[in-house]
Formats: sequence, structure tokens, C-alpha cells
Amino acid sequence: MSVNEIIEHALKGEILPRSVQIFGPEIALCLTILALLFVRMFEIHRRLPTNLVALLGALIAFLGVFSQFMYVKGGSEIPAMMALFQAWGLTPEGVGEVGPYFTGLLVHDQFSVFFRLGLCLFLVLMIALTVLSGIPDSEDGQDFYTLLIGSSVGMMLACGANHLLTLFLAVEMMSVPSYAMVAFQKGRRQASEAALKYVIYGAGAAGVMLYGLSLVAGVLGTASMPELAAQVSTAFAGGSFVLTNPVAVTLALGILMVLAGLAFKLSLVPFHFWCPDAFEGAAAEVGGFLSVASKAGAFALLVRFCIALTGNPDPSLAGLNLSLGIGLGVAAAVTATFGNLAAYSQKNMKRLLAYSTIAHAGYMLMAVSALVIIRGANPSGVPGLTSAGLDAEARRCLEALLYYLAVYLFMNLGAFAIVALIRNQIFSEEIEDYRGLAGEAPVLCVCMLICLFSLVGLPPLGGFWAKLEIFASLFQAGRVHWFMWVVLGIAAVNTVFSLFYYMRVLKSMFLTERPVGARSALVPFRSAPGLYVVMVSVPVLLLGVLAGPLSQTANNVARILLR
Amino acid sequence: MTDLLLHFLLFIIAGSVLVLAPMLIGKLVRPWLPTPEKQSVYECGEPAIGSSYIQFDIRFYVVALLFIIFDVEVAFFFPWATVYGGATQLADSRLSDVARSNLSDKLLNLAPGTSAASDTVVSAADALYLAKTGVVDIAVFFAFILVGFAYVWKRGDLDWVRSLVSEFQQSQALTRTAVVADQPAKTEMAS
Amino acid sequence: MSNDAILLSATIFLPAIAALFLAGFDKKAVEAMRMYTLAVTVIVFGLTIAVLGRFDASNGDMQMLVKASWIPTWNIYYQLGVDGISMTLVLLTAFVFVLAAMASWSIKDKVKGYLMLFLILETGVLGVFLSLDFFLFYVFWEVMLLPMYFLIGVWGGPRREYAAIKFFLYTLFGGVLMLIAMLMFYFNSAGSELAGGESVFDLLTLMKIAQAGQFNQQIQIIAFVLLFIGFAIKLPSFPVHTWLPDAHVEAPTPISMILAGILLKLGGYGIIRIAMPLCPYGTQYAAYALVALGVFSIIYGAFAAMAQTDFKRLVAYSSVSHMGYVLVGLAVWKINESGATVGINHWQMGLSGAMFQMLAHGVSSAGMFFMVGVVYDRVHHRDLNKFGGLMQKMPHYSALAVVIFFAGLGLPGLCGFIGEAFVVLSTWNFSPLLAIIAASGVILTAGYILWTVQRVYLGPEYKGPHAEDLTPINGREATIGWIIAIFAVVLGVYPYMMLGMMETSVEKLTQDLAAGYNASMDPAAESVTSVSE
Repeated sequence: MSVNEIIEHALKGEILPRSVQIFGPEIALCLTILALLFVRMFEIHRRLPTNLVALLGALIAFLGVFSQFMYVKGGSEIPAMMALFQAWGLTPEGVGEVGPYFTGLLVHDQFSVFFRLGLCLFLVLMIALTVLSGIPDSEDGQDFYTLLIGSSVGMMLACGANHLLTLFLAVEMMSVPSYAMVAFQKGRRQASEAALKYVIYGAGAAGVMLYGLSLVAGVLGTASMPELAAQVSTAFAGGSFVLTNPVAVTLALGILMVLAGLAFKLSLVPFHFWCPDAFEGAAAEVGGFLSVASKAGAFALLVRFCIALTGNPDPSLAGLNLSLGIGLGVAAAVTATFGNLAAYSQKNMKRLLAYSTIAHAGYMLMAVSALVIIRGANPSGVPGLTSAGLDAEARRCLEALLYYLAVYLFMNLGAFAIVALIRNQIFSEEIEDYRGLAGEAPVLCVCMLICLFSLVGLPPLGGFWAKLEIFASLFQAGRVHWFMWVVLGIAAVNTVFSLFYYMRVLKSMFLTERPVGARSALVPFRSAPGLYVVMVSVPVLLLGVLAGPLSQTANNVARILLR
Repeated sequence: MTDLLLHFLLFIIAGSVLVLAPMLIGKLVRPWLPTPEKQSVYECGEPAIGSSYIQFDIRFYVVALLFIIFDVEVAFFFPWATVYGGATQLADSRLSDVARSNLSDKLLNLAPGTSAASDTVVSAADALYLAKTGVVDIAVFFAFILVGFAYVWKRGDLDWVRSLVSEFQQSQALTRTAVVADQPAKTEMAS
Repeated sequence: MSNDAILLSATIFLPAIAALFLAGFDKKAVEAMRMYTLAVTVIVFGLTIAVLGRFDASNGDMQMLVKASWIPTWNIYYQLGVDGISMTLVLLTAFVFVLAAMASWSIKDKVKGYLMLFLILETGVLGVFLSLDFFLFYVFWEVMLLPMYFLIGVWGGPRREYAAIKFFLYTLFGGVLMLIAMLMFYFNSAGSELAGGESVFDLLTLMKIAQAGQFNQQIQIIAFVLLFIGFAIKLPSFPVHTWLPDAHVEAPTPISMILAGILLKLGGYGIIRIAMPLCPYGTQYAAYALVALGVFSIIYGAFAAMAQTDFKRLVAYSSVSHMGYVLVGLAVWKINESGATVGINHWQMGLSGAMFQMLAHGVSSAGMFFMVGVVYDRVHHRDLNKFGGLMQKMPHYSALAVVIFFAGLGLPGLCGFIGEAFVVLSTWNFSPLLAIIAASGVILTAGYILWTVQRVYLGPEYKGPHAEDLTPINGREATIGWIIAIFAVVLGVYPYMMLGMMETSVEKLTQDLAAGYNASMDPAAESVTSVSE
């Protein structure tokens, strides 16, 4: 775009207002950060607690994204939402129109709105949790919330990344504050150690990723993601994707390096080492944030990157799609298996949940690998599936991922929240110390049961439906390439493995007696923490029993993204 | 494939050799006659005081980190400055057509003479608009950084000598519970 | 909603809803909670009688169909219905739950949680028997796991944690295999015009597709193996039965009654309702192996039972042995070279025998576990070698116990006889050798049961610990014992009461399976679904 065009369209014309309109919730979050700093600067944080400021800001941003979501979903004609639409100034040519904004650096579509909605909801729930659990304390609140909200803005950028540069920027923006958050409990040596480990791994991964991005952009001659697929086939004009082709090697190396950077964020084996230490060192609240929001942002990036690369029907590039899909499938299977096996011997609840996070990243990655495999399939080569059938299956894969993330948001947040609330009572996060808690804090324990069973994937909870969708997409991808059936088998066996260690926690809580002299944990149902955990657990149940609406929405999102 | 591998291999080998060879040669060639003076740490001709492995005061790090933040931020000013400079020059409506097209070339990073041939010449009004936008942009950017700076200042992170006594009293007054090392934080909610 | 929908839904969900209300009870009101739970189970039993009243035994098809959309994007329906096969098992379930609720007075600790889980369990079991959508079936199947885990794990014996997790893992493993088979059917159904070109979980449609031979042979074999492993774990059949003795021994008495009386039947029911109709070719392919496995389970269970010194473990292994007959009866499907079914009447007899065996075992094993529980509550041990002479101290109890144990033995005139006789007779048509081995299992059964009766009830005098606590049974216990004993006699004398209910359904099932097998063999039918692999 030349200067004249930028001035015409971007500055004077329609791009800037549209972009600002779409970017409204992120701007609201940035202003919240400013407000937090001002509150502390002018010493009014004792009358106006910083956590309330943060909660208010997050709520405003959530309402912003929610109105965008409803607008995109149902158009401007929803009477109940009119006031909200007007407050955010939504217009048909702004939010109503899907497409790139900010001159193509970001893209506005159903996919990004869906993710941003989830992230904002999570941010609200997260801040509410910190209000209840009292971490951070009132003097340091603004620092913590600044980091938290800043990281969230980075994740929201990640959801709309449309350019390799934005991709990198988003990864860094979500990572850097999280390093500091891990170290937030300054007095704990473990926290500092964990943060150091996290920073060093993170810096290394970011460097590798940047190198990979430059290779990809260099080979393909563009960094704009929608153009990648077309450029891939130009780069291979006449040739095919085999490893004797130097262009292919460079590109493969670049892709591999980018994936390594994303794998770090997703804590996939073998880039998972930071995860258990960081989770153990950090407060449980931070652990919850890292395991849910950070994953969601990274998956959004991964999906966008994979779709940008594989959106090419050129049959000579089938090798690229297939090797990418199978590579992801192998990584997924190894990650899930490793996570589940390593979790088995954990004694600390946060470490256990860290390994469970790794395992779940593996399950979710399976959906992405199935997506890549199905998109790369040659329609005539798959018996029983037409081209339209393949499209439907690709949608199902993405639907599975979106559904899984939505359920995961609630069930994992619930688990971490309960760990935090129990810690406040008994000052321990060891599974050993959870013995017999069910008698004292039945609400927390029953909600923990719901969350953990959902993590195992038992009906009628949301985790079951999510897992079923992933299994279904793997099954269908198996028709394209038999390897996906192997992955399906591994996923099935993993489900049984995972039961072992989740049950250890529940066994400790429900099946044993509270030792004499142990600190009591009395959290009645009618208290703020009790209601909070119920509020987080009920959606887990609802998403299992009434899976229809969300799976329909996820399917629509997928349809528009894969169009 | 093999080409590329060979390149990598050559680079790795050459790099390693070029580093290791001088060290090895030095090791072999130099005489080895140690005296206490020779073995001491070289410190600008002054006798060294103690080991160099000492802990620096944490305040150095704080100041260094803050310095870096404000230092790096200046780097973002450079691209902005070139555009802004070009734009303000072009905003002068009294410029001759030749000067205008030359300046346009410079601003758009084109080969000299391109703007004269095509229609990429930036008009004065457009340039003015661009310059104004630039001012607003950098003002917002800088304002954000200044808020951060003010916050750090207000918090006392820039004070070299921080009054620990007053800080302690302040925290006592707030009944702020200390975070126990290697123990989950005891919080206000718990009490 | 139609009356059927209300009636069937109420039957399933009444216990779960009642469990929610139980949460409102005061912790101290133990007696009230027990009475409430008993009342709920009695009402549910009444509802199942009402279902029976609307049920037409002369019709072999599914009746009282209820179909409502549940998850439309995936073609999942809330679909219920009964036929002769599920009707009898629903009745058995409600009946055993009433008895188990009466037996639950022996639970003294954390009564509220126990009763809530107990009622949720009932919902799960009834849901499995009544659902006609594979997905719904699977959900109910897994829903049972959670209450069972806690019922064994919290209120069980000394090794309860081990037993509970073992039970959970085995069943979950089977469940996961079932899930994969479910996905196979779901996605392969899309290729059939019978499903309207869409993937379905609807069991009735899937059965029709299978009957038309439109799942190819390979799929049928793989799916049958996956499903069979899942159901064989519950049944339990020989190599995957090892969870059962542990779970039975550690579970509290009422839960043992339910476990033996009902949960084991779920395995047999799953094979009849899902594995066989959906994979006729797979069933026939594996028939000989299944019968052989069943016969081996009979003999193995009997020998294992004979070797036990723990009273409850003995009864548990007797369950393995008895459920072997079920497996044998289901699979005695003989064909000739051209694929035509030979002696379909014999196979129907075998299936009826298997079904009747499940019902009879449901009554007699629940009774046996209850009888063990009664004496365990008094003397707090189950060592067979320390018993003896109970007949003198507790004559009323011992008389009932002997009747019930004889019912388990399969004495003619009592309920256990009919099933075993039917199965062994029908096996003769299938394979005389296996029939002879199965029949010898009857002798072994007689051997260990008579020996047990001798060691526990007969003999001069009880010399074990807590002899002073051997008080005569109270009214509640006697009521349970009498009900079970009466049913054991009634079923033994008038088996047609149950056989008549399922006759037409069994006939239809065998005919459908035979048709499905022939269609699967037919290459013309297969070409329709060559898409599916």
C-alpha cells in the first residue's frame, strides 16, 4: 500500500474507524491498564480497590466482545441487544463486515470473535477468582492486573493474527507478562526459579520462532497469512514438495521452527519442561491462567498458521499437508501419553494439573492434526467422502477443537480455582493434605469431582462431549490416512490412563478420613467462594447435557473460517 | 538439500576452527612464566580489591532495567522520525514540483525520479495530514510510556536510598501479611 | 409429550430427582432418609409395573417408542422404548433395587451420601435398559460408574479403594472400546439409504442397516470384538473377570446385591441389544469362540469358587460361573455351509435360557449376597472354615438361606434350573462336546454349593468369633429373605411368566440376525456400502 493509499483509505477513509470499532474491547482493556496505574499513582487504591477497577474493565471489554459476537451472529436486528450495539457504535460496515482490518495485520471473523469472547470471559472469571482468593494483595494489585490484562490483550491479538509479524508480536505479548506473573510471589524461591526457567525457555523458543518466521517469509516472499498458500504453490511451480528440493527443505525448516515456538506455548513434548515447574512455582490462579488462556491463544495461532499453509488444493503439495498433519499427530500422541504417564507419580496438585494440561494440549492438537490431514486430502482418493463431505469433516475437526477449548476453560479454571481456595484454607497444595476434605468442604470437593471427571471425559459432562468430537474427527481423518486411527487408539488408551491420577485426588478427598489435627477447610455453600466454584462447574455439566447450541455455533465459526 | 547441508557444515566447521585455532596457537606459542602480579585480575592498573565474583546491589539492576526500557523505546522513534520529517517538508505548499517529487521519492523509499514519472507524488495537504497523524500517534505512544514512568517514580523505584523504615511502618499500618517464603501466601481472605 | 414418554422418563429420572431432594434432609434424620429412599424405589417399581401394563407381550417389536431431538447437529435423539428383552430386565432392576434399599439399613455411616448415590445408580441402570439411542445408552452406561465407584470406595471393606479403582478402570476401558465401535457405526451408517444419508446413533436404524447387510464384514468383526470386550468386562467373562471378586468382596451388602443382581446383566443385555443385532456377521464369526469362552467361564468359575475360603468371594466366583451360561446361551447359533441357520428353535431356546438365567441369577445371587451380609453383620468375618452350626442358632435365617442357595445351585423347581437346562439343551445342537462340558459345570456348582451349605449351616456348633452375636434375623431381614425365596420358587415353578414376555422378541431377534448374516454374506448388498471402508 502506498502512502497515498494509506492516507486515503486508512487515515481519512473507512479503515481506521472500522479498525477502531473492532478493536474497541482491546482498547478498553488498555485503558483499564492505564486506569490501574493512575489509581495507584494517586493513592486512591484504598478507597477504590484495584481489583474492582480491573474487574470493571474486564467486564466492559467482555460486553464489547459479546456485543460483537451477537452482532456477527445475529445481525443488527436483535432487540434485546440494541442498547449494547449502540453503546459500542457497531455498524454493518464495521463489525458487521468480516475481513482484515488495520491494513491487513489483523483479521476480523467469527473465529477471532469466538476466541476473544472466550478469553474475555475467562479474564472476568479469573479476576473474580483473584478477588476471592486474595492473590495479589491490595498493595501489588495494579502490577498483577496490569500483567494479566496485558497478557490477555496479547492473546486477543493472537486470535486475529493475519500476518506473520502479528503472530510473533502476539506470542511475545502474551508470554512476557506471564513470565513476570509466574514470579509474582516475590518471597518464594520456587517462584523465582520457575520464572527463570520459563523466561529462558521462552526466550529460546521465541528466537527459534522468529528465525522460522523469517525463513518462511523469505522463501514465500510474503508475510501476509492469507497469501501464504498461494505463494507456496508459486514457490513450487512445477516441482513438488519432496526433501530433495532445497526450497522445500528451507520451507520445512521454517515451518518446523515456527511450530517449535508455538509448541512451547502449548507445552507440547519435547517443549514442555517449563510447564510443571512454572505451575508449581506460580500461584494456582496464575497456573489456571497459563493453562487455559495461554493455550487458547496459542491454538488460535496454530490453527490460523496451519490453515494458511494448507489452504492449497495443488496436488503436488499433498506431501506438505500430509507430513504436517502426521507430524502434528505424532506430537499430539506423544504429548498426551507423556502428560498422562508423568502425572501419575505427582504428589503436588499443581504439578499434577500441569501434566494434565500437557496431556490435554495433546488431545486438542489431535483435532488440529486431523484438520490438516483432512484439508490436505485429495477428494478422489478417499472412498466414501466427497469433496463436500471432506469440507464437512474439516469443519467437524475445528468444531471439536473449539468445543474442547470452551469446555476446557470451565473445567480447568474450576480445578485451579478450587486448588487456590483450598490453599487459602489449609495452606497446602499437596494431594496428601486433601485427605477427607469432602466432609468439611463438600461444595469444593463435589465441584472438583465434576471438573476432574470432565477432564477424564466421562458423560454426562462437557469433557466427554468434547472428547467424543475429537475422537470422531480422528476417526474420519483415519479414512484419509490410516495413521490417524493409530492416534485414535492412543487417545482412547490415554483416557483410561488419565483416570488413575485424577482418581487419586478424588480418592484422597472422598475416600479417606481427615487426619486428626489437620487444618480444617470450612467453605460453606452459601459463601462467595462456594458460589463461585458452583458457577464455574455448572457450565461443565450443562455443556455435556446440552451440547447442541455450542457445537452448532462452533460449526458455524468453522464453516466461515474454512470457507 | 545436500548443498544446503554442506553450507551449514562448512559454516559450523569454519566458525569453530576460526575460534579454536588462535586459542590453540596462543597456548602453544606463548611463554608460561607466572608471577603473582601476572595472575592477578587486570583492573586499569590498580590493584584489585577482592574477588570479582561479588553480588551487586540489586538497585543497579533496577536502574539498568528501567534505563533499558526507556532506551529501547527511543528506537521506535527512528522510523517515525524519518516519516514525520519527510511529511513536514512535503507539507510546505511553496515547494517546487521537482523538489516535491524528489522528497516524495525519499519518503516512499523509491529510486530517484520514480515519483516524477508516476503519480506517487505526495500532495501538500496529504503530507500535512500525515504529519498531524504522526504527532498524535507519537503523543499517544509517549504518553503511555510517561504514565509508566510516573508510576515507577511515584512508587519510589527510582529513589536510590529507599526508606525501609517508613515502608515497613506503612505496611504494618495496612496489616499487610507478608508472604512466607516457600509457603503459599496467607491472604486476607483467609483471615 | 405422550403418556409413554412421561411414563418411561419418569421411570428413569424419578430416582435421580428424588436424590436431589434427599440433599434437603437433615443429616440426623437417618431413619427418615432410609424410608424415603425405600419409598422411592417402591414407586419406581410401581412405575415399571405400569410400563408392564402397557406392554404387549405378543409383539416382538420395540414398543412405547419415545423420540425427541437432543443434539440435532449430531443426529442424537432422546430415544426410549421397551421390548420383551428389556422389559424383564427393567422389572428385575426395580425389584432388586427395592430389596437393596431394604438391605441398606445396615449402612450406618454417611447415610445421606450413600442414599443419594444409590438412587443415581438406579437412574443409570434403568436408563441403560430403556434407551434406544446408542449415544444415550453410552451416557447412561458411564453414568453408573461414578456412583458405583463411591459406593464401593467409601462404604466398602478394608481393600475398598483398590477394588473401586479396579472396577472403574476395567469398566472405563470397556467403555472406551465401546465408544470407538459407536463411532464406527455412526460414521458408516451415513452410507446407507436406510439412514437417509446421514450419520445416526439411532439403534433401531442401525439394526435395520445391519439386517440389510450394509455394514461390511470387516467392520462387523472389528466392531463386534470391541463391543464384546466392553460387555464381557461387565458380564464378566473369563479373562476380564478379575475385577469382580474384588468389587464384590469389598462392596457393602446392598451394593453387592445390586452388582451381582443387576450390573452383571448389563453386560449380557449389551450383547443382546447392541453387539449382536449390529454385527450379525461378527456374531456368527465369533460364535464358536463365544460358546467356548462361556463354557470355560462356567468351569473356571466353579473351580475357583470351590477353592475360596471367603464366603463372599465364593459367591462372587459363582457369579462368574453362572454368567458363563448366559454367554453360551446367546451364542449357540449354528449355520450350515451355505450360511443358512440350522435349528433356529434351538438357538431361540438358548437365548431364552440365557435371558432367564440372567433373571434367575439376578434374584438368586442378590439373595445369596444378602444372606452372606446378614451373617457378616453379626459376626464380622466371612471365613468359611470358622462357620458351622448356624442352623441351630438361626433356624429361620438358615432355612431361607438354604432355599436361596439351592436356587443358585439350579435345583429343579427353583429358578436357577430353567436357565441352565435350556442353555445346556440348546448347546447340544451346537456342539455336543461343549454341551457335555457345560453340563458338568452343573455338577461342580452342586458340589461347591452343597459343600458351602454344609460348612456354614450344618455341623454341630458355631465355634468362630462373636458367637454371642448370632441373634435371629429381624423382621426386615426376614422380609427380604422371604421375598427372594418366594420369587425363586415362583420363577422355578412358573417360568413362563417371564419367558412368555420375551418369547416374541427373542424370535424376532434370531430371525433378524439370521437375515442380517445372509445379507452380509451377499456381495450385492455389500456393494451398496463399499463406501464404508
